[in-house]
Amino acid sequence: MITFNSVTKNYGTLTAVDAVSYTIERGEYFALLGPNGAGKTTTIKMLLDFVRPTSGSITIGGVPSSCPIARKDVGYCAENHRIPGHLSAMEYLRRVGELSGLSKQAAKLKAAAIIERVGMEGKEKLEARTYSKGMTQRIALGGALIAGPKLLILDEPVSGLDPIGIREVREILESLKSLGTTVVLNSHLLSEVEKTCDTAAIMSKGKILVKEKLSSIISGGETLEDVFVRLVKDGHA
Amino acid sequence: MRNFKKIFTYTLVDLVHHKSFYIMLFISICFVLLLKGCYKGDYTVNGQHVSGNAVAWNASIIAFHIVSAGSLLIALLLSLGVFKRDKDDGSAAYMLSKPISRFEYVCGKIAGIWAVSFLFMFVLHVTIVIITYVNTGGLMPGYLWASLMCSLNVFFMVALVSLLSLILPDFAAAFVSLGIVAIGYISDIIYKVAQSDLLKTALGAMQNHVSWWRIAWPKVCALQLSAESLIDQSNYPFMGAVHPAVNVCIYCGVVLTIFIARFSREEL
Repeated sequence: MITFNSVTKNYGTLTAVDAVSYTIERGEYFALLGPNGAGKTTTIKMLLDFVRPTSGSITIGGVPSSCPIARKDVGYCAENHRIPGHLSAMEYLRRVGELSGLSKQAAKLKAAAIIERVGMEGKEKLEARTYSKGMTQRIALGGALIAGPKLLILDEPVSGLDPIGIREVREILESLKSLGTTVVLNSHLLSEVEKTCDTAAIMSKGKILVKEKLSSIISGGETLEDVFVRLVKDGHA
Repeated sequence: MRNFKKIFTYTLVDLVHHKSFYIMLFISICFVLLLKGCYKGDYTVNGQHVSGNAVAWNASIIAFHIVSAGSLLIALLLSLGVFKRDKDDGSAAYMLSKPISRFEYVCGKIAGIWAVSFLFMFVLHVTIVIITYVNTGGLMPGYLWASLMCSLNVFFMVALVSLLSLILPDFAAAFVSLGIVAIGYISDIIYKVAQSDLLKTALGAMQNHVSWWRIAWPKVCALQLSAESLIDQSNYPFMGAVHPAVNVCIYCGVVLTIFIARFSREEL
């Protein structure tokens, strides 16, 4: 479904992403892991056409990611997502729904349902500037889910959430499995990745060190954290 | 087109949502209402009697120019740093992660800012027309057409400030935009004054020569002066062979094209 074909992104002399090639299949729960500055966020931004690759190509469902139509069925939740301060959760979600192609009426109904799903009932009419980080993150996740995306891109989705919120996000993600949704998850919380994802890629210094099924990556009694630390240290050596 | 409409509507709603917009509009209307004082009584100028209606007519035309020029400042304030702000507050990311092209996003945004700025100017012009009608009983049919014509200037200002504030710090963008418009005003006013019969006779053939850059410069002021000719049904002698409206339209197209090309490469 998603193909990265020798994608490179340079910022002057710095190579943020270095000739990355891999495929994410439909329905796959894929985690992109790596230390800070590994190039994960740049990779995700290139997938959404927020940043243009220096070379190489990315396709979503066979369509180049630079075409707006490639994002037709994409839901995106950014790290430190910001919602325009004067909008309420309801207004924000309605807008996101309408921009995703839903009719006004459908967006209104979906927004109400999503408010409930992300546990924001009773706070949906407050202005976003009054929300805590966790509340903003819930609304951002709601925005990503509102149009029933086939591809969900989540950049640190549980950042700022309390343990209950983290569990709720995990439950939401698990409920999407039966719908065949593809999930691309960028997270530092390796324990969450282990619980949620099927496959993972570990990046370091812009390169993919490994891209395998989690069951293949974790073997011999090691945890994902052990493998991650070992691979990243070897990658830096 | 549907996405354009949505972004246009959101921009419009977001801009008129601010209380400061209404405060600014209220203060401006209050200033315009001060005009009422000019319409009372008769005047004597250089010993000659001037009727109240003639004074009212001239006051309305002066007010037309002040409002038209002032609306450029409103356009500047509304569009200054708006795309940077969208980038910072996450609006650009949430919109562009949807199947929306940057072209639609930019056009919708600029059209929204233009609509609000134009609305601001139009409300003030309508207020002047009403005041004139109430006080003199005379209608100025060309006034609102002239306002519509000046909306081109507002669009140019919005596009120019949006482009410059994407590549320069806000204060520099404001300074350069005002500079471009001010040079145009000075050049076109000098030209208009030089076209008076008295100066024509005094300067003879000398004043026929106009530098090429003055002809090619954005004709914001000339457009305003030619809009005035819609009110008083006069002939405005514009500089060069191109009508100021065409000149400003060309500049709007060029600035918008550069802006879209620049924004397409912008990283979010």
